Amino acid sequence: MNPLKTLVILLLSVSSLMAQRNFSGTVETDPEKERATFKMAPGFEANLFAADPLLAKPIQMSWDIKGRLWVACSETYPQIKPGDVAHDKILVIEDTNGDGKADKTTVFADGLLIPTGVEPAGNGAYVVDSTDLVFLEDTDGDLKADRRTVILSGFGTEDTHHMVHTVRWHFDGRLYFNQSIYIHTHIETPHGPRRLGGSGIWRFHPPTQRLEVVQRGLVNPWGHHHDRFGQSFATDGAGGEGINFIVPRAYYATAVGAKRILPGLNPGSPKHCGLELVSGRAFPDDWQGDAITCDFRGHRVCRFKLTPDGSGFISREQIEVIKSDHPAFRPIDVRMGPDGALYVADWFNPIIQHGEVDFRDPRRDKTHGRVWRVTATGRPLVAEHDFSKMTPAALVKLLDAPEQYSRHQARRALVERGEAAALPALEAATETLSKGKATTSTLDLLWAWQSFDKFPPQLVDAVLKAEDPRIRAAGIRIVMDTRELQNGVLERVGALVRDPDARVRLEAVRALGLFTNSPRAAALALSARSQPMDKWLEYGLWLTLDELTPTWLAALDKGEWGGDVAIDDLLFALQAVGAQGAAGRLAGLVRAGKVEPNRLGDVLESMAREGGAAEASLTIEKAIGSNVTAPKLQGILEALTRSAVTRGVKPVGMESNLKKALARPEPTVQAAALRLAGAWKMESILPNMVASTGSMDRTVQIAGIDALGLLGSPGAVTALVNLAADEKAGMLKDVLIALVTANSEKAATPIAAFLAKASPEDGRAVVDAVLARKGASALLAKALTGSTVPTDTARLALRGVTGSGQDHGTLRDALQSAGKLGQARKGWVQADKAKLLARVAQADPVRGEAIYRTKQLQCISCHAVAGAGGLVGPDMTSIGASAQPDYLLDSLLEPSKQIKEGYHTAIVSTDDGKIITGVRVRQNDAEVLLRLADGKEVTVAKSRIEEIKDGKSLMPEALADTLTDTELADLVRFLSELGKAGPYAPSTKPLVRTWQVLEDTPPARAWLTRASTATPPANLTWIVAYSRVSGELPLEGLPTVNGRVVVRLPQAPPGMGRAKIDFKDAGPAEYLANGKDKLASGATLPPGSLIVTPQLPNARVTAEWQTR
Amino acid sequence: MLALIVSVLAMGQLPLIAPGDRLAWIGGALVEQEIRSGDWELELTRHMPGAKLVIRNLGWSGDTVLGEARAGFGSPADGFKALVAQTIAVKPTVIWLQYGSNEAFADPLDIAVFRAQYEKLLDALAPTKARIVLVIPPPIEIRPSPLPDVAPVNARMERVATEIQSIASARGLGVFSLQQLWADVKTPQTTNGLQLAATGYRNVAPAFAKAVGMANAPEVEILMLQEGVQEIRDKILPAPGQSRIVKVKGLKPGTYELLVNGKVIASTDHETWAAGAAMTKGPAWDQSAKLREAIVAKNMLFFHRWRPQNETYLFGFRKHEQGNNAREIPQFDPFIEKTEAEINRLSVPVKTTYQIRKVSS
Repeated sequence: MNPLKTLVILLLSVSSLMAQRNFSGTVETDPEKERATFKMAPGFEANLFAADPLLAKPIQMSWDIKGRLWVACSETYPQIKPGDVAHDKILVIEDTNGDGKADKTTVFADGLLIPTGVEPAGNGAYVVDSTDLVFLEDTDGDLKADRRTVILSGFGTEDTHHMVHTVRWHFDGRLYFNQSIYIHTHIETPHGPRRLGGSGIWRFHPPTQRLEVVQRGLVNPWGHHHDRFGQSFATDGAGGEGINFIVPRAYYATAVGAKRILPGLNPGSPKHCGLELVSGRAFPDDWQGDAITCDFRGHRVCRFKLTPDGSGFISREQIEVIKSDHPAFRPIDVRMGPDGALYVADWFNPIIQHGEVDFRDPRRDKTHGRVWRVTATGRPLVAEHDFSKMTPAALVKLLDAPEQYSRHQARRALVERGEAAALPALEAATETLSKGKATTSTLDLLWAWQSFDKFPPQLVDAVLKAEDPRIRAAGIRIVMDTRELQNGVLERVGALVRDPDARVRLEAVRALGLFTNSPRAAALALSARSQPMDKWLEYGLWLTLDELTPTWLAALDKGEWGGDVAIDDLLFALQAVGAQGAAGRLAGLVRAGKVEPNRLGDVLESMAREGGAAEASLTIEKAIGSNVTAPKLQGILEALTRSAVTRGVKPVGMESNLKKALARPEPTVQAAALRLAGAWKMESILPNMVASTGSMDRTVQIAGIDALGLLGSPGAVTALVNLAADEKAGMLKDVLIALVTANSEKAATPIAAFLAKASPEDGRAVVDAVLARKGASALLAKALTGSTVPTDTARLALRGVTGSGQDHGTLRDALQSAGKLGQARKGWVQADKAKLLARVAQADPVRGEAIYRTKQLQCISCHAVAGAGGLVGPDMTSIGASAQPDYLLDSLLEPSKQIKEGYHTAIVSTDDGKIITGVRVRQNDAEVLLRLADGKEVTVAKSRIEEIKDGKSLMPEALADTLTDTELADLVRFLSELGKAGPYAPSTKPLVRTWQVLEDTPPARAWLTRASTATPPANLTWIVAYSRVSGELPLEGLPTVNGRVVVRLPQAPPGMGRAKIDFKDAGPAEYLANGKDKLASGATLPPGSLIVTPQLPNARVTAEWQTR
Repeated sequence: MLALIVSVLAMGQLPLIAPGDRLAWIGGALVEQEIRSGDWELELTRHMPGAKLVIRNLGWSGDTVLGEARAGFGSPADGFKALVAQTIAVKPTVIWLQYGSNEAFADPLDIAVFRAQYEKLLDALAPTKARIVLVIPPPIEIRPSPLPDVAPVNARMERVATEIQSIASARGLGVFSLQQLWADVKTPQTTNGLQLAATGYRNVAPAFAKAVGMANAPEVEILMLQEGVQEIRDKILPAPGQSRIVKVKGLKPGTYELLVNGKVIASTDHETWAAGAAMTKGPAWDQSAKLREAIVAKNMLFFHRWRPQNETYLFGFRKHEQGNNAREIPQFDPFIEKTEAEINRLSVPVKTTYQIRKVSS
């Protein structure tokens, strides 16, 4: 039995934030004492640049061309009080004597309502003032705003830490700003209304008032910046994937209406706020281009190294810039400054948000705030300039300065100087630069031109033909702003789809998606497939085809498109888009005999997945009639079954084809055919189903039972009732699950009888099936009246009930009574909690971690730590850094009391009587994707949904009942240590945390005996195992095969790499992939399998992963 | 006296606004953004002193007659429900509907669909029993390149205007038009054709007042017959910057100063006084400014009341966590009422003493 299928799930719904509610103790507010807690990256130091009372509660900061720091601050956050007048401020902070410390603060603007963004421009700044993006100006030179102009209005405010933020000029002279997941924005522009629901990044060009969305998704995209070549990156303050590589107009986690999403570069990473890329001589060479962002929960300023990988990037975390255990150190924004130092805004608050902490919690700090300045010890800083006083020619010279800060301010200063002053200087430089080969200087110059919406052809030509592919890629993005002005852009960009460089191809493919009226663009994009693809390109091409679908699909139907598209590309387009009607077009190609035999299986599977009844008929006909492989045929039959179950797709007839499938020799095919017959309600196959239940092959036997359940006819129910009465060993569980699917009424009594004898695992499986049927739980509760259920069975079944996210009160009571469980252990009154909490300080986090990992609780199967573990509940990586023990305890005892954003469940009722409970991962017009309590993802067609209700937490209640007080204290202690400085701090090392372990099966034994074959055969079973927080994988308790543990390194980390393996007390180890090498501790090896002969009980393996 | 100022339809139909009215003003950004300037509301209020008007600005940027901008997390249909519910919640006696500009960006514009949607909203608002007034939105202000050419949009706006007029006629509803909003101002009033610049609402307030039938009286003449003290009560407060002429006849040669409520406002010679001196400051202007400030304060309080931040936690799907804080939201009501009483008080001009005093011969 695969233990993963029978795990008892512990879902911890505590968020790292809510737990701050009970922050107790006094906060040390002395900046010097705060600074003393900083552990700096080797060779770096921090000094205080500015602090309260000069500033309080900084949110975003940005430098102007005079080298002054503008800071948006809010003391009103999180919510204005009735009768109060908004009084939040924009401050301008200056270091007038250049000693690295601010000495002057001016209140530029007051009376704002939670300004979440500021970016200087001209004689003022763009400021986000709740629903409005305003331009505040100082018209009389006293550095105080005296004119307020609303630029854009209609930004949502559904959550005050989601409002528009990260306002920033980028290289292209456009103003970018982001909004978070709960925000719904409706803006009126002279180009028409623009709307965005959910997270995304906006791009705005004030002179033309063009406003567009350049990315959708992420939870809180609180950081966004471009690298030296204009590639875009974002961080997420509530998503756990570290640095995100932003592909133009791509969808990321949580994007509203997304069909497919791109992942981040650091899965399992803590959450981050702000983003800066290191640039300039004041930082060492090996820091250049590194991403700096803030883990505000874990009190860390983090550093990631970005390395190109095909068309995308790899991101690896490095040692922190700053690490602290000061409870109020909350770094939230980072900027390189005029002197080349790194500036860090510190929001200084023990409490960091308001979703789970009361708006009026008196412990919210309202008066403090800091800006820290990080420098490399002993390294010279760079000379500061006042860009406002330089001549245009001098500014143009700085456009390619070594410091991004200078490049940026020079460009901004030119823009502010205006066309008349700036253009002659730009023209002069263009004259010189367009003579040689394109370099970064050429690119910088073109970006400056782009800020004026002008694009000298000779510069564009040079950049698009540059030797450096990164410059060519940047050029494509620039030239797309000219597409309405210049002819030939389509063909020029289209030609770059076949560029030798993957990044250039990705950029070109994505650019083509903007030619929404051109079927030709789709054909050009598809030509990317003539070159190697990677996951970014694959996604990018899919998205381009999706954006262009209406155009090329209409042209295809008219016979005006596709003639010059390779059939394989056409199939890719149709399959990738998965549009309504794509299946019909695939069917047309199949009928016309245009599909090569080696592609037929894939095409049929697509048709089965996407098509209606007509395509289903054709699919099964062709699948039976052609020689697709058995696994492919199985896949096709299963896809048809899913379409029947989730979308109600049922063709007429087809019995003869199904019977042919049933006659195939492979049990897997027979099994799939049986289920399909059930889903298609084929009464004529009933005898085959009944016969199958007597099969010697368990796969076929179970499929026969399932098929009866799916068929659900009176005959099928009778057959199942008979089987249930027959009590054949090992089958009863499956029979009852099928029966409850077919008819919950007839199932209730036999299930009650079954539970009286069932093992905990079997009982749980059947009760889970009951919970998935409308009305079934009440029937079972009634049938359980007066009966007895073994205590452990009842207990496990109850976990299913309380973790269902639904209210099944009667069944809960019935199970408690039948299992003689009584009521939940004590009332957990405040005094009990206090008593337990008093033990936490002395409790043992090592034992706590063991409890976290036990089979009994399996917290880790739902709550990952540093990405190792399940995704059902929030990641626990830095929970302890902000959560107080009493809130951890509360969340263990009452999981539904506070639920982390993104983990609210939806209870979906479908038109065929099913109930599916899960966390909504994403949804679009056609379907909803839910993540269930077991981590599986299920798609439900919207057309089948009768109702969606809000549910409770998926974390089972009353978990504490199974733990002793000591164990509970140990568990709380362990959780409270996570993320704090010490052995449970988030590690910056690229450790392997998810492993595969070989299960003890006959093929596994045979393989290990036949030592000659290094490559593991396909019929082995591997289970997932997770490292401890330290990165060590304890071998104790893992399955052994012939007395040895076989672990396999995952392929998961992006790109190819090598692992450095360490054994502790593990005995000899062998490496299986290149033969049987004996390995010593510290060995380096590529991915493969590793045999360890453990010297139990304390053997551990650690692997550090290095990419390239 | 009030009845004289109350604007009525040309054909003697129901008034666009009347004393004691509770006005629900619904529409898009142009309506919404008025809350911060208060200048249009000032026109209504100062033209109807002491009329106890209650004005509820329910504008929402990007909105359409289907309430598209109000859907929040819900479907477009939820936006429409929200629009209707928000309007009903303010218990209006009169509703001004200002829709059509966002719709006019659709190319092609299906005018039959627009009409059907408009009528759907009218039907849904009928249970309020309020008088419904249709407002024809202004065209997009024409601005030079690099801003886009809006001529095609404005052509569709014309079509929208005709349709609104036709709906009003068919249903016998009040209607007024803002199509002439930009007619009397020379410099551009918007940043982008749609969004009014810093003093935009003030600058076009006369055109707005004209549109609602509250033609600004020409400069008021105050006639003083002699040196000495005179008590004067204005009929209505002046608009900011609006001048008044003070004429003093029969003064002996010399320089005279005008004191209003004992404070020197102007000083000039007898000839100028006889011809009439323009006055642009004084207690009436101060009161008018205070009135506008009170209007803005009331609008901000009401904005926090009907469209509070953190909606998700207060009333949305996370109310089980922070929903207890929703109790604060009705606490805005007494502040709104208090400010409203202040607005009513400030809308009535007070008696002022004017005094002409000789400074020198």
